[in-house]
Amino acid sequence: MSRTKLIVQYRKILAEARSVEIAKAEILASVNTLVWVEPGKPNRSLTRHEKFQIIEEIFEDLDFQKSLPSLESERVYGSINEADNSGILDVISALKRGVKD
Amino acid sequence: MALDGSDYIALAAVAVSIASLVFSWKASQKVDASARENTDIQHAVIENSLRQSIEGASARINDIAGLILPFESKKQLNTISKEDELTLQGYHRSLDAAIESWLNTYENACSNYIDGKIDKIRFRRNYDVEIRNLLDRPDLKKYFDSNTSRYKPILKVYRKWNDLENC
Repeated sequence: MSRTKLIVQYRKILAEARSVEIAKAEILASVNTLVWVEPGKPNRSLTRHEKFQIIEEIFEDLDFQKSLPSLESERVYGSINEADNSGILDVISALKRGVKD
Repeated sequence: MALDGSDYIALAAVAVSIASLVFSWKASQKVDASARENTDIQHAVIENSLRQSIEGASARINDIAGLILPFESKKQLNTISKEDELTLQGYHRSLDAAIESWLNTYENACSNYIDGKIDKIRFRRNYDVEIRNLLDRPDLKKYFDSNTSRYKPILKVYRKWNDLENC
């Protein structure tokens, strides 16, 4: 099972748990048994702290995905990602092209 | 069974301790809510100031673009004088400096995100597209070389959001 799939499962356990404390203990026990290695360095196992950092990042990613509006709400309210720097990037591109020409 | 004086005192003590328990629980809830509100306000202040810095730096680039474009037109029509050519070179140096300042504002924003000084979910929602645009533009490639880049926080955030499986 990939890291992400496993972490999604942790998230599900937490979300559906009657007791969060028990769910946390269950996840902690599972994380302790995991052997994750650093990408490109198969001999270096990640520490518990590093494993939790990865879990936290993927939890954050799941929260982010959940916070995105559905297609329906985008149709009704418009996109929430209003900040966009493509205009200024186009200006920079045009000026840089001018130098090369 | 009849209650005597000491029983009433004991009952009163129990009632007082329950009341104080409820009172302290409510007080701690208020403190938690107030702390959360303070954190939200702090986050909002930082987020606004970051957005203002980015807008300010973008405006500076636009200003320099307004200065460069007439000279670039002359250059393309081969009607540019030696003096204007030198002026144009100077403006291009200013443009490079302005682009670096503009990237610094994103770097600062990403550092705040990494340090947890701003709301992470909101930051990602607002900056996801912008950070991806920065890294995807060929004109800015030289600023984001993975070995030599000075903008490590931007690279880190980009990788974190776009390469989660290998983080």
